[in-house]
Amino acid sequence: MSDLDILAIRTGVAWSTEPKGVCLRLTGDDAWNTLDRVCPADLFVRDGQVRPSVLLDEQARVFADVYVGSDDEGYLLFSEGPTVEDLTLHLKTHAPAGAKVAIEDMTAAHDMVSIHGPYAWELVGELLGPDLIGLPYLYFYRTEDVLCLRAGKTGEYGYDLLIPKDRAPSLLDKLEEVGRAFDLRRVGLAALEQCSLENGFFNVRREGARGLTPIELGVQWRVSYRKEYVGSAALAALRKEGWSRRATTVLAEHPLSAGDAVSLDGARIGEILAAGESPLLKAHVGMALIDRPFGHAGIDRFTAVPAAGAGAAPIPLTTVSPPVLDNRSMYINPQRHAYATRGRDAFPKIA
Amino acid sequence: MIAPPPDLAPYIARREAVLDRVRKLLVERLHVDREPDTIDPDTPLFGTGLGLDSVDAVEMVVSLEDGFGVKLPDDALGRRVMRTVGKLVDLVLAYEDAMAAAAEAAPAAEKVEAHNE
Repeated sequence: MSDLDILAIRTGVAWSTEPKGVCLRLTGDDAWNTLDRVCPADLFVRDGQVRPSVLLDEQARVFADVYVGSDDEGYLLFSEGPTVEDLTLHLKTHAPAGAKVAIEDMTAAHDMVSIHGPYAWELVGELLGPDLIGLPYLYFYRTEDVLCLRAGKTGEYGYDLLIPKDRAPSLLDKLEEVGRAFDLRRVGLAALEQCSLENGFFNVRREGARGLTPIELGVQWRVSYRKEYVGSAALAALRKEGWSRRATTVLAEHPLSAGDAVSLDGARIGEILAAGESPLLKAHVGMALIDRPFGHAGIDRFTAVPAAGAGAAPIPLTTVSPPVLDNRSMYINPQRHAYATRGRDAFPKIA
Repeated sequence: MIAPPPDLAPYIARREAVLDRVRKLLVERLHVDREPDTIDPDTPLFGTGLGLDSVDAVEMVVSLEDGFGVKLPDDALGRRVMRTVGKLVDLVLAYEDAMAAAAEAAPAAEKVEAHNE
């Protein structure tokens, strides 16, 4: 990962074929019932709208990061985490007995491309048509053959494109052509995940792979306590006990690594789950799982004790409320701004 | 699980108290349809998260002033702090600290003035 990758995501436009997500389409009389049984969020979505949620196992441990969307006669399930096979099996296992539901793997016939950055809206408008510029957050739109979901997990404008495989080569050619005016840069998963960490977004491949619950991960806004679903009983029981440890964002001047212990006056109170260097902030950002009652922002008394390298000096930590920087996209107005004239615009400092 | 040391305990207690008040504000003033204990500190306020909109943003500014005395001085600061529940808590704590520092400085300034008379 280059610092230029982060710069492109934070100040311009970047594209990627990562992360490798899954998209299933459920149709049939019981499509909604099937999704409702596995999805912890309330599934009342308008046509073309998606709702973010997670999927849980019976112990309420998160194993998938999902968006559920209503699509004409069916439902779309965009997922990161499990394979197509595991996700399909999970749906079939928990579907109502005798459910009339067909599950189609959209990923098999489509390529997925994501576009990110404060000017991503402008590039997407030129690539797929001006209708896309006004696409609201957490909505998707179908052009003649491409499905465009506005979501993103970097804190900047973000779009996921689902492109039929036979159409992908010509669209990627056009992306390259249109992208020249935007200094478009291709980035990998590491850059996207660093931005995601800086914004405090849940990452199913890092902290999400640790068998943690929505309470520990701080993503209870993605679940409902008013319906039954896979994991709901275990989650309700955990809620009754109250949180015992919580994912908390930390900053440090020295490199952190997943697995480092978090310590207070020599006593272990947590662990670093994920970490990376922020080139814009010129600091190291981490997500730590910290015991109650210490999982709060604004504390500078903890240290990280490196797991590797016995005798390494403890690293001072400060807990903070994410996002740890000021996203440029917050100040971009598609009616007033454009990539070509960005030099004339005054924006607050990102870091 | 260890107890917070004496130098940290007051801050944690204060932060938890403000977090509870912010949660209450969100439920009672902005009609967020959730139990307060399920509103995590890192919950986004707009879009995803609690799903607040631009009308709620205006109500939020009014509520922060009514509930905490906090005035948002400019649009940019508003955008920066109205991201997550935790950012609002940071704002309230910073405001309270600034007010306490000003109150502490005021009698000292009065003393200096009196001495100069």
